[in-house]
Amino acid sequence: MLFTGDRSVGYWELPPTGVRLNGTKVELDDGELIRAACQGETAAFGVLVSKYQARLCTSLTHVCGSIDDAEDIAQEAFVQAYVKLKSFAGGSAFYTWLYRIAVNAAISRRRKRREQTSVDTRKETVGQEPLDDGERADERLLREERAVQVQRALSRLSDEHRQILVLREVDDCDYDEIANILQLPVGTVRSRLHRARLQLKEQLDAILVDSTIGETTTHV
Amino acid sequence: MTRNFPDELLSAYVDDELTPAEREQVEQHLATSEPARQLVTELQSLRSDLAALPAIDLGESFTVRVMQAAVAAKATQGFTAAPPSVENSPARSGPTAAIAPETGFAGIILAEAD
Repeated sequence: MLFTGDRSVGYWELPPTGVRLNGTKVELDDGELIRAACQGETAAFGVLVSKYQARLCTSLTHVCGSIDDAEDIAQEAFVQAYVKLKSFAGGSAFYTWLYRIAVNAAISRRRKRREQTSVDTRKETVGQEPLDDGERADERLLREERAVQVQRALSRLSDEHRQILVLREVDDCDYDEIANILQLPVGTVRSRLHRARLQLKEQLDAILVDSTIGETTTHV
Repeated sequence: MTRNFPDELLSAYVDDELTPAEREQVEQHLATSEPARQLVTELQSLRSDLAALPAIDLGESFTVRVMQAAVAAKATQGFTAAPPSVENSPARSGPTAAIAPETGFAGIILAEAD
């Protein structure tokens, strides 16, 4: 028995992220967790969910522009991954496989798209990010303003440009991983990523010009 | 594109995704091209902007919700999914609610992703 939960949340005993051997905590790798889950240790899959949920949801949020949609798609992807876990051949990293399931889920979801809640709106309801003690208030405001501009510029890009930028910069995937997830040759990843960056720069420049004109008008 | 030079190599340069020969080619170009150096600076700035976007932290409630939906979905596929063992575990302090199937996922159609 690998998992004996030590945190109670409703029905589920959330497991620890590792086991102890001779007093030393040993982190389980994805392969071990997948094998355990396939052998019926459901909680092992819970560790995988816990391990990857923030990364997947962050990436999906910036691709979709909606935290609500990102949560739904991430949940759907995890559920599908769990049901199909025995078919995971291990030819790629678990996260790569999971992300591809999420991409398919997002495409399927788009067909029956519903009204989205924007990231900005949701932020107001869930509260602001915690204050960084080392950051001054004006620095924080500037950083947040810049993040809003970048999100707005991202939202103006085509789906394929937004997707590849988020995979590279937010998800920190290398070119091989991106090629694997998007099923593209690495050369295409390289050229598409560059075009996406030029488009983002163009959109950011336009947003900055708009905001400068707005400020000038306000001050006149 | 800077003159006669494929700018996409500059993106791959800031990503550290070049072969040694390509890297040498880029560095030679950067040594003589101010526009190329400017573009590299802008690409690095864009990278920082994107990397600074806020992260989403969903917490344990999301994990629990996903696991409930996952077990329910598997059960509807004809499997009998056992809940996680609680052998040797401390007493639960939370409610022991039954698995609540997420109706949105109970009838999910699985698309092969690989």
